[in-house]
Amino acid sequence: MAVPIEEAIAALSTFSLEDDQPEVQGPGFWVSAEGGATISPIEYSDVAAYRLSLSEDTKAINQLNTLIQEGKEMGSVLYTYRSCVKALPQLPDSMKQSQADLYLETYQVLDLEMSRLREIQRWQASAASKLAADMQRFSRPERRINGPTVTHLWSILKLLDVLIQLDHLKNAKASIPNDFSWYKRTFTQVSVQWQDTDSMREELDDLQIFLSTRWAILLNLHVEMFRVNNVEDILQVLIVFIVESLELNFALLFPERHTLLRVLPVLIVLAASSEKDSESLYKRVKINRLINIFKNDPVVPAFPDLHLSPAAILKELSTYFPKFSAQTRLLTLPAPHELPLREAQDYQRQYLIVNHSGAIRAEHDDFTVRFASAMSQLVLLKSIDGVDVEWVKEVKGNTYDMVVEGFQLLSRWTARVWEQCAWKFSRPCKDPVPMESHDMPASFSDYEKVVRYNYNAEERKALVELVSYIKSIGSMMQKVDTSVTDALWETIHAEVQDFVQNTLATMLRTTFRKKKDLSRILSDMRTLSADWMANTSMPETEMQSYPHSGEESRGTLFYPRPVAPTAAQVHCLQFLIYEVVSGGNMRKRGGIFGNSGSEIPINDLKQLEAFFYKLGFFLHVLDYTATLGTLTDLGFLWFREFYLESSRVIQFPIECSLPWMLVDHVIESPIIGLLESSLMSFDIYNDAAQQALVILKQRFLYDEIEAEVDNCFDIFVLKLCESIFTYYKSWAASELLDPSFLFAIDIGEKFAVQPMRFVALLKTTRVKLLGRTINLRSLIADRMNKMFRDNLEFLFDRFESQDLCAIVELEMLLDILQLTHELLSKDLTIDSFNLMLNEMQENVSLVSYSSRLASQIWTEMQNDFLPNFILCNTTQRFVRSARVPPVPVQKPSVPYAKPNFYCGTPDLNSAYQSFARLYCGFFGVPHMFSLVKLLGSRSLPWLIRALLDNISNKITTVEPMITGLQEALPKSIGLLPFDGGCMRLAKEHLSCWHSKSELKAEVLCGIKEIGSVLYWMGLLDIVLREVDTRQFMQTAPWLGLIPGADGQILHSQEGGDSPMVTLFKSATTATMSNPNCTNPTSFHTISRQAEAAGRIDEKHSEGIVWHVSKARQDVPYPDFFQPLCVSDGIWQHEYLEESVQLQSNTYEMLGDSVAWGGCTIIYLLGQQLHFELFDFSHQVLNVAEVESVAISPTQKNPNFLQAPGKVNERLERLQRTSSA
Amino acid sequence: MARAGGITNAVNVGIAVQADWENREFISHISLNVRKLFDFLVQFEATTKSKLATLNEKLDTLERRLELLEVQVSTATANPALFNV
Repeated sequence: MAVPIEEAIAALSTFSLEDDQPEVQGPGFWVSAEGGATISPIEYSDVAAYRLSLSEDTKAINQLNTLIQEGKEMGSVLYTYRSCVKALPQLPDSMKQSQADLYLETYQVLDLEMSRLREIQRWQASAASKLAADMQRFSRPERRINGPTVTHLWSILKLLDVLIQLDHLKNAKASIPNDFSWYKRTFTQVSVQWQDTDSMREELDDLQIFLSTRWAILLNLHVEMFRVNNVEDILQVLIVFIVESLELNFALLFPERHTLLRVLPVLIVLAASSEKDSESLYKRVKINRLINIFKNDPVVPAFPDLHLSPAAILKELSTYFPKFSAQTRLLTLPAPHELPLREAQDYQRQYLIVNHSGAIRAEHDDFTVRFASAMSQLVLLKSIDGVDVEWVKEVKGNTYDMVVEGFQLLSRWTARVWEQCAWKFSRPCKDPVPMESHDMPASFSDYEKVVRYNYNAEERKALVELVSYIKSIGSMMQKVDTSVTDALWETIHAEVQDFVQNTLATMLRTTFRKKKDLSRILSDMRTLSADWMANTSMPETEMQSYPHSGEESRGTLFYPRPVAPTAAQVHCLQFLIYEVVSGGNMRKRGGIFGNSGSEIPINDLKQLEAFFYKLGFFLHVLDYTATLGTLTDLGFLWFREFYLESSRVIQFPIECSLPWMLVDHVIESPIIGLLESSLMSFDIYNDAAQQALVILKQRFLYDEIEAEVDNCFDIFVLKLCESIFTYYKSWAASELLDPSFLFAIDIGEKFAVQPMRFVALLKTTRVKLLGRTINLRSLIADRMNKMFRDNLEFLFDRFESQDLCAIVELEMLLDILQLTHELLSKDLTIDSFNLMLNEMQENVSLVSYSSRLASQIWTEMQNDFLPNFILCNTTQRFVRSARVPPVPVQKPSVPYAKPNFYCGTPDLNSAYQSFARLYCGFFGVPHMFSLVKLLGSRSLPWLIRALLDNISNKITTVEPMITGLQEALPKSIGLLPFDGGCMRLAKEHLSCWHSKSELKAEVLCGIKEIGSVLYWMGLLDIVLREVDTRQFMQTAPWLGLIPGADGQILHSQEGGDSPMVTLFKSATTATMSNPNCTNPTSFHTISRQAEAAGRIDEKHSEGIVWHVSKARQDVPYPDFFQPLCVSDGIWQHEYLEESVQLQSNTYEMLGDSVAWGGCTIIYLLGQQLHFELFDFSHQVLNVAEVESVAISPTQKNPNFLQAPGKVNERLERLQRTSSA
Repeated sequence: MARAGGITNAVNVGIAVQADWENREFISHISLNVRKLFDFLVQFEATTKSKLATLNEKLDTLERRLELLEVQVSTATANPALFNV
């Protein structure tokens, strides 16, 4: 069973085809309609069916169209011609004997190229003669054939344009004569052996004349045309046609307008150089009108990088056409480079897009809104049945109007881009000021002057904006292509029918009743296009529902039929209207529609005129996609064949390439609104590639574009990623700054980050580039992953090049990086931060507990921290000792990185650096916090183990030394007497060690290091307790633990569940009760598991929380100390003695750690009682106390008093710590 | 002088034109629907591509996570002694 087509197609729309892809690229034309209406694909063979005796005319049109096609191909050959001579190899001296071979080879290569030029020469000769013949045939006064039709006129103009373009190309391309002269030289060399070269030589001479004569094609055409002297009429008609079309400027899209502007000066020259009275032209067209046209457009774009100037052309041609040189008024027009400053500025204002960007933006916004609303109305219309016919007509008419407006808008804008380019090419930058002053090249190429330095930042911005407007409106219109098509057809059909059935009927009844000739033409128009049956095909019921009241005045109503007239119908209608208006007489004075002497009343003339131009535009609307394609094609911005040739380089660097300049400007500029337009600028490359392949048909151009695009896109992604990373990084960094602090300072704005919208770009998974589809999102994600890793690597490298104190800074930077990651993860899927951190820390393995950071900290402690840092007890800090000859530590130099590897912007970097500087001079509690946070519970035990091993090693090394020192002591020492000799006596006892001062110092250092490690671990303990407590406090409420009245922890509900479990349970019940729940069992499982987990947690929580501390306690200290025995009391005194003798000096070398080390050893050996009993210093202290009453204290006393006091105090504290 | 106009057999031409309108209605209808069909295919391809890209992204994440787990497992299995204590 067959399904009706509409239903089948409508069913397709039920598929969900939505993806949240942002519209960041221009239209892609998947199916090209190839201009089916504008260029009749069947070559107007259907015209014959209308029996208008137009067969001659049709034949001529087709002939001209073929010539146009050929000519365009010739033009692209010439435009893309690159010099072969430059690529010819030079023979080294050693190979001079094979010079002849080289000549032959060269000849063969060049011969191919020259054969193309010969072909062009032949072609232009035949084209000129055909064109001239055509013009002569159709301008005979006693003509027997119908024509020329309007289409015919257009074909003539287009062929003229092609010929003129070819002439320009030939004139401008210097490489062609160059190659030719080389070719001729090789020919003379090679042809020596050949026979019968006369004809070839002749041909060569011909070609040489053709190539070396400026305006050879035009001169030839002139000769051909005036062979028979009656083409003036048609030339005048053409000029009038051009002038009227340009002045009305309604139905012209920019390519046609430019064509007319290019052809007009040449036509004037041709017309003025005729033998006859040239003044007759000015009787039909006032010279002021011409001058106005030339003045409005002093530069006309012709090729992507070559402009034409009507004034300059007129001037140059006046030397070739002597008769024309009498036209002084036209010749005094200034060429663009001769413009007086004032006028030039006026033109500048007119040409530069930047001066219109406000208006353009307003137009764009307004149009977008209205177009979208028209589209939604159309959609609405299709979704309702049985709506009011008038409303349907209105909505569809509105759609048509919007499409027409859109085309005109696009045409205006693209023309602006073209014209700005032409203007810029005509006015190169006088003294280029490179933006990067450091790489100032000695000279600038011409192309750099006209492009690279000719657009300032504002102009680039305006251009980017305009390009993206063109592209976005293009893609908006292209999207609705198929949904508006039938509305457009219907509207056009209605317009045509309304005209032929109503307007013409009225005219026939009134104005033309008496004029038989004209009324015949009008009825012919009705015959060939009226759709009478459309009236009757409407069902009766609907017919009746029509509002009958207005029928009389509005004439016949007809049923809408979504069919457009064919090209042939439009062609014939235009022809007939033209006939009516001109009365079939070309020699009539005046213009076409501005004909005052006509017999037709002005009102009817107006109607005819309006319909005439509308008909012209119908064709563009019918070729919807093709027109859109032409209007949004910006590929010309890339091409630079002329400048390549004149600069004698193979290709310009990409900095000179306008599309890349735009992309680069978008990324580099601080204007955030532009970011989303960056991909639109890549569409220029797409267009250029399309043009290279389809229009110019040159593979090498495509290859060059492709290479440039590949390069540019890589750079683009790289730069984009950089700026994304920088943006998110600085965002994170500014978030982490203390807000109250920022509020208080004056320069707070410096640290604020301007929001940027990367979201659209981050969402883009499809970037169409030269037929490839690129997943931008995944590219960015890949790079981001790499960037984060690089950044981590850099931070660790940096830490490794600094000392242990830098750990606070490291933590800070890692925090920022983590927040950056968090912020970016909202918009982009990237690897989890922990994964990357583990990877960069080399911490992935399950069985290894060390990490890159932990081992670095350990190395740092071993090599730098323990030997070089001393403890200050009061501040609880370790500081780098000034006195200790630093143990040399080899460190890598600080790696360099861009600011975005720190905190983003330089301002934020300096802010954070001043924070970090606060912590760089010491090691204390904040450092310990960072260390705990960075290492975590995984690597900390490893570090502690390593430190303990270190202690045991130290003790083993120190022990024999102590024994040595012990042996040097006297066997027995008595109680120190309470008289003045106390100190002296003590000194005497210890003097035995003077000989072993080195040994002594080493022992002291050893003990100091042991003490440092112990104190360090003490700090660690304090910090861990705090951290763990905080963690516990955070989790406690969830486990149902609440603080009791007496500071005890209570369980919230006796025997009940913890709040966590309760939460899960209630969630489960809630889900269960919901009838929509499909799979309740899984929630059951969750709640069970939560319960189980709760129970386990109750049992084990304490053990887990404190496991680190326990690990410390479990280490059997006393084992290490067994070998050390009795002598500690004496040893302790020695330290004191030492500190007495060396005073502050020693303190600065050893700090407080020695006391800690010594005391711990004493305590762990259970000798504190011994120590207290035999302590010299205690005794000395007692003595001092007694003495201090009478004798003024010596300088040593403060130290003296202080040291033992502290020792005792510490001993007590140590006791507490250890017993805990 | 031959004036324009003058369709020689106006009635026949009129009938032919009428038939032509009707025929072309059918042709336009078909061609429009073919274009719609093609439009649908193009859009379908585009959306499918972006959906696949989303899927691919997820798979990538999973793949990397799996890779990590594999490495971790391999380190564990390479040292079985650690788990027998």
